[in-house]
Order: sequence, then C-alpha cells, then structure tokens
Amino acid sequence: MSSKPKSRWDTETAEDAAEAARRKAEKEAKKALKLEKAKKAEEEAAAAAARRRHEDEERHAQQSLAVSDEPPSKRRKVSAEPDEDAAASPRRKKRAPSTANGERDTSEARLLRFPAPEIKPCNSVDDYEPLNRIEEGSYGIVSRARHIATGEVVALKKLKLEGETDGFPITSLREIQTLMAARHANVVNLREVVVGERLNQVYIVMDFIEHDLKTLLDDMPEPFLQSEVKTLMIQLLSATATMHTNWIMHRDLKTSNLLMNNRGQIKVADFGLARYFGDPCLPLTQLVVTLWYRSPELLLGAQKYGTAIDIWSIGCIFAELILKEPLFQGKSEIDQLSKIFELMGVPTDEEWPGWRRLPNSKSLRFPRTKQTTGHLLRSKFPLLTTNGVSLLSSLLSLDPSKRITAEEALKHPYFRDDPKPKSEAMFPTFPSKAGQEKRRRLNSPSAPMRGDAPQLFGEVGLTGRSGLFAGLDEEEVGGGFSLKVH
Amino acid sequence: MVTIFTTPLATPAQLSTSPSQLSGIPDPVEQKLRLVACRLIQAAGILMELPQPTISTAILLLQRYYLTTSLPSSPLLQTCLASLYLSSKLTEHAQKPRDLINILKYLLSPASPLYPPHLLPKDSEETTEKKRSNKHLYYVSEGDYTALKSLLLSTEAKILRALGFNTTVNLPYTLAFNYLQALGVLSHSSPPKSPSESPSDPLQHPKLVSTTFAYLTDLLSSPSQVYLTHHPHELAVAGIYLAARDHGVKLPERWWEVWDVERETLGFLVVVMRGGTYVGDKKVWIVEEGVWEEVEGGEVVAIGAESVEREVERLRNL
Repeated sequence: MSSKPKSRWDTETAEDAAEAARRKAEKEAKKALKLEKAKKAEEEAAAAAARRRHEDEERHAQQSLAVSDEPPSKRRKVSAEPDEDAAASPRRKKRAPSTANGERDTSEARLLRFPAPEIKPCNSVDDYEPLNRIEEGSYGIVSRARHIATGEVVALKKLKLEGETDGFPITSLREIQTLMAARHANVVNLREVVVGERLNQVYIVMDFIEHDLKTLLDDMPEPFLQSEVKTLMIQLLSATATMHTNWIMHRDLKTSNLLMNNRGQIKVADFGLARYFGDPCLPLTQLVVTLWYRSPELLLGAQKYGTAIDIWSIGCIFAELILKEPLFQGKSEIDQLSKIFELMGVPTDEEWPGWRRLPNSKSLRFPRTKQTTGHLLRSKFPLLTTNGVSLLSSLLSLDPSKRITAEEALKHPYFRDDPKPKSEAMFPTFPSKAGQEKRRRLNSPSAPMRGDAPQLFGEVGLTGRSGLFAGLDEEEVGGGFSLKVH
Repeated sequence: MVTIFTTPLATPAQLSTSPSQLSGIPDPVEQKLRLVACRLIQAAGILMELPQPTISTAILLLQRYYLTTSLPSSPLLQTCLASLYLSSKLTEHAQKPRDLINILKYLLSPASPLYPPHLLPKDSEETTEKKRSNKHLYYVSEGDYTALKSLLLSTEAKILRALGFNTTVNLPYTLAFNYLQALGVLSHSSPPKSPSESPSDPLQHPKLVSTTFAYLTDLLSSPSQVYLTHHPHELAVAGIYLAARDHGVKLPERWWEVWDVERETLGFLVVVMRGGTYVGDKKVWIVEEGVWEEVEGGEVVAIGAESVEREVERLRNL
C-alpha cells in the first residue's frame, strides 16, 4: 500500500523536475539573449552618439551658411526616402525665382506620400521555436513561441483547417483581414501569417500577452478599483470605436477575449467572428457573440443588427469588472433573455418601438406589469456612482437604436468623475498563467459555431423579481468592504 | 483613415523580372495570358452578376499572384477560378465552386462568344446561333468537376500564401466618386431656376461617373499593370481627368494636388489609359487547348498548359 502513493509522489517530482529544468533552461537562454542584446544596444548607442555628433556638426555648418529658412527639422524616424533632402533642395531653389516673377505657382504643394506594403509570400513557421501551449479552442490552438531571429516571444495561433471542404474558411479570411485593418494600441498586434509545409498549416503570429481578463478576474482576491475599471473601459471603448469607424464589428467581445499585459493595457483579441459591415446593414447571421454577452435584439432573432451588439457586450464587461463575475449567466437563450429582462425590465413599446415584431418575440410570452418594467441597476450596483449607473444603463439599453455608441461613451461624465482613471503605469502586475502553464479551461460558454439560429418558444419567467434582494444569497462575498443586507 | 489609400504594391524588382519569365515564358506570351485572364474573369463575373468590385478584386489578386508565382507552376484556368472564388469570399459575395467551374467551362466551350468562330464545327447545317446554344458543348462531367475543384482549392491556398495573406485590395471607385462630389461637378451648385430643368436629370453631367468608372475598369487589363504600381487615389484622379476631358467638364486649376497626386504621375497614368490594351482593336478569342494563331480580325489564345508550352517552343524555334 505504501508503495503506491510513493510511486505517485515520485512521478510527480520527476515531472516537476523536468518542468523546473525546462524553466531553468528557458531562463538561462533568456539571460544569454539579454546579455547579447545589452551588448548590441551598447554598440548601437555608441554608433548613434557618433552619428549624432556628426549630424550636429553638419547642422551647425548649415546654419552658419544660413540657407535654411526653417527651424531645424525633427529627426525623421523612418528612412522613408533617402533622397528626400536631395529632392528638396532643388525645389527650394526653384521656388525663389517663381516667387520673384509673380503670384502664379507661388507654392510648391506639399503632397502626402502613402506607404505601400510589399507583396511577398508567407514566411515559414520554422522561423519560430515552439515553447508551450497556451489554450486550445474550437477555432484553433494557441501556443507560445519564440522568433528565432529576434528572440521575441510571440503567440502562435494555428488555424483549424482540417476537414474544410470549401477551401480557406471565410471566417478565417475575415479574422485576418479585420485584424490587419484594426490597428490600435488596444487591439492585439498581428505580426504576420506564417505557414507550414502542408497547404492546411496556417498560423497567425501575434504579440504574446501575459493574461486574459477572465482568468485575472477569477484569481484576483479583490475586484479592480474604480479608477482601474475606468482605465480599462476607456481602453476597451477606444479600441471598439476604432473598429467601428473602420466598419468592423467584433461580434464576440467578452472578458476571456480581452488580453492584459503587465503594463496595464488590455488588448482586444480573437477576431474569429469579426466581419466588415455596411450601411444600410444587410441580414447577417444571428448566431454570434457568446451567450452571456449576447444582446437582446440578437436573442430575439433580429436579422439586421449593427455595432450596438458590441456595445451591449461592453456593458456586460463593465458590469463584470465591477462584480468580478459575469452579469447575465443564462443557461439557454430563453434563460438569458429572462435574466436580462429581470434586471433591465421588460421593454415597453415606448422604450423599444417595434421589439414585438422581432421574429422570436412573437412566440414568447412576457409578463408585463408595472413591476417588471424599468431597470434595477441601482440596487444591483449599490457602490457605483450615479454617472457610473447612467453609463451602464446606456450601454445596456434594450433598444439598440438608443444604445450609446463607443465614441459617445468615451465622452461620458463617468470618466471625468473622481476617482480619475488610473494611469496605466500604476497598474498592479500579476503572475502570468499563460507564461508557464496551460490557461485554465474557462468556466463560461464558448462562442457560437456556425449553424442555424435557434427558434425560441416558451415563457420568459421573471421569478427573480419577486423581491428586491432575491438571489442575493447566491452572490459570492468577496473580501474587503461589502454591504451586509441580511 | 490612411488604410483606404494604401494598397500593397509591387517592387521594381518584382516587375522587371517575373517568375514566369524566369521559367522561360517570353514577356509577350505572359502579357497575352494575363489579358486573357482578365477577360475571362470579367466575363464570368458579369454572367454571375457579381458586382464590379468583386471582379476587380479577383483580377488584382491574380496579377499580384503572378508577381511571385510562375505560369507553368500555376496554370491560368485554375488561377482564374481560385482568384474569383477567393475574391467572392473577401467581398462577401461568396460563390459555389460548382457555379464558377460551370461558368468558366462554358466560357471556354464552343458555345461561348469568346470561342473563335472559324473553329466551330462546319459539317452540320445548323446556324452559328444554333450551334452555340447546344448545351452539350459545355457540360462538365463529374470527374472533370472533382478534378477542377481540388485544383481550385489548392490554388486558393497557394494564392493566399503567395500574398502573405495580405488580401487588402483598395479599389479607386469609391475614392473617384468622393472626389467627383468634392469637385462639385455631380449636382447643380445652384437650385434649378425652372421646374422643368432639374427633376428629370438631377446630375449635372450624368455620364461623368460611368465614364470615370469605365476608364478605371479598362485600366485593369492594361499591360502596364498600373494597379500594381500606383495607389488608388492616383488612379482615381487619372480616371476623373480623362472622363472630365471627354465630357468637356471644366475643373479647377491643379485640382489633382488636393488629393496628393503629382502632375508627372497624372501624366503617366493618362498616357497609360489612353494607350488602351496592347492588342488594339483586334479581337482576342480564347480556347482551352489549341493553336495560338493570328486569323483575320483577331487572334486565338489557347490557355491550357500544353498549348502554352507548344507556343513557347514555337517562338523559341523562330
């Protein structure tokens, strides 16, 4: 009997040792890289200093000749056109005579030059050295890898293309297209797409980000501070505003798709359901957005929808940042709707004109009395300021046409109230999960897969609304301050 | 946003020596094949009632693809199919491989108006019209279909790899329309004086937009491939310039500088647009396998790999 636990212990230590050895090797490799980098940086600094000195001398020479009528120009960051100066000087000379002989052609127009990306084939996945697996989902496998040439650690997402009968899936095309177009400080940076030997081996290379917000929220002993929530919300809203002005809908915003680095920045990731939209909007698939973050118009079967569905998800995320748990945790579409109406109230025809004409609302019966209309956000979020509740209620407006836009939300007074948004640099850091081990399988439903949209029938029960504080005992009590109601 | 102005462009090195030339295809043959590919894609797109941006995207994908891949390693028919298939997905007008294959096969069959009339079977007494409407001429057997479909799908993957998955195609049409609006030449600047003047014709120059678009679309099949060397705003300005001249519309002095186009660039593009296609008024007939030949009033181009090989061999022996 005693041998069995011992052997189990033994294997575990062996595994641990292997893991420790791997980690140690990795650390050493990192250290070596760092040393090398430092050495290189030193050399570069010396070179740069020399260059600067040289340039300074040149500038002095120029100024002493007094040819330049402009203040010394800023140093160009990019080496756009090496012959820029050469081209500029004759132009300057040309300008002088033309000003002399009349008002025509007085100014040589300064024309903008646009950069052009090159057309070049994909690099090979062999440029990267695999480190460890982070996460596996229905869409593909994400793993950590190191770029061999530069030593940078990246996230490598392998697309699942086996069993595709229609060639490269349109959803993956959209994912790559939209991720390339949505460049923003708070959108995960797509570095390149690399391929393996076989035609169905395609990998998306992105910056590696240490955490995802869902895991962080689950592991934090305390929820984020108000000032931190504000910073995170500003980042999320400005990323979303950029996407929406570029005609991109994300369609799967949720905390597990928001990555967070140790410098207080969140990055919107996983564009697997994203797509371009148009104005006026066309009928699109209703089976988008993870259930808990899905807006009421989608649940009611609207075929035409717009950016407001992302805003609803942001509202859910805002509430989750405060509560430390998802706001509406429905078990099915009907349950989700009833949870939404429980908190936000059953819409009246004035609140949301035309909602009764949506496909699924015809077959559903809703209890509608005075008691069931109007939202209960105030009592659900007792510690949130008035402006906070006002922002939340306009993000979670039932009528999509009355829902606030990302641009407007950024100007909301909530963000100007005290406490002010915390500076990114002041954010706490967290030990990385993805850096060492597999990211935990998330305890939340996953994004919908392609298929037919469900038809809803039945009655939406609002049992929870019988009493104001019903269901409060189910809530987790965190550390620190919390109001005791019982 | 800067993104609608920028589009991936070819480098001078890519343009001076194409992979096809390196693998032994002479430049004129490559140019003719590229032109034929544009014709095929355009014709198929019209038959399938696809919007012009989808068709233009397909043509540009094909042109970019042949910057990094040679014709012998990726024959024309499957590349046409794959680029149309890919662009239909990219522009959200997804088509079935089956439909694309049927249409392309029809276009290469004797029933197609692109088929040289002198090659039509002469034995029967039927009229040309009747011959062309014979459905058996473009029937695609199940075996052919399966083979072509798998070629289509693998070529699609190859196109994506060759382009580094950067499928951004910014076309000049929208910009041209915006520029025309900004120039104030589309609608009357002052309200109509008499009620009879305007309602029937709200546009000041009704043909200006369509002429501009026609120039831009024609430019796709130009042998100089300016869509690979110039940004969309430059193409749009050049299209407007020519269309305005055709319709006698007066535009402000040096208006092109407002949209950051140099006079030299504009001049170059106008020359290219005026130059038209290299064949001039000659008609180009397309067959799948056959002999490249000049006949009265036009020439025949055979796009099959074997026929291309034979033509290259013939040119080498001249």
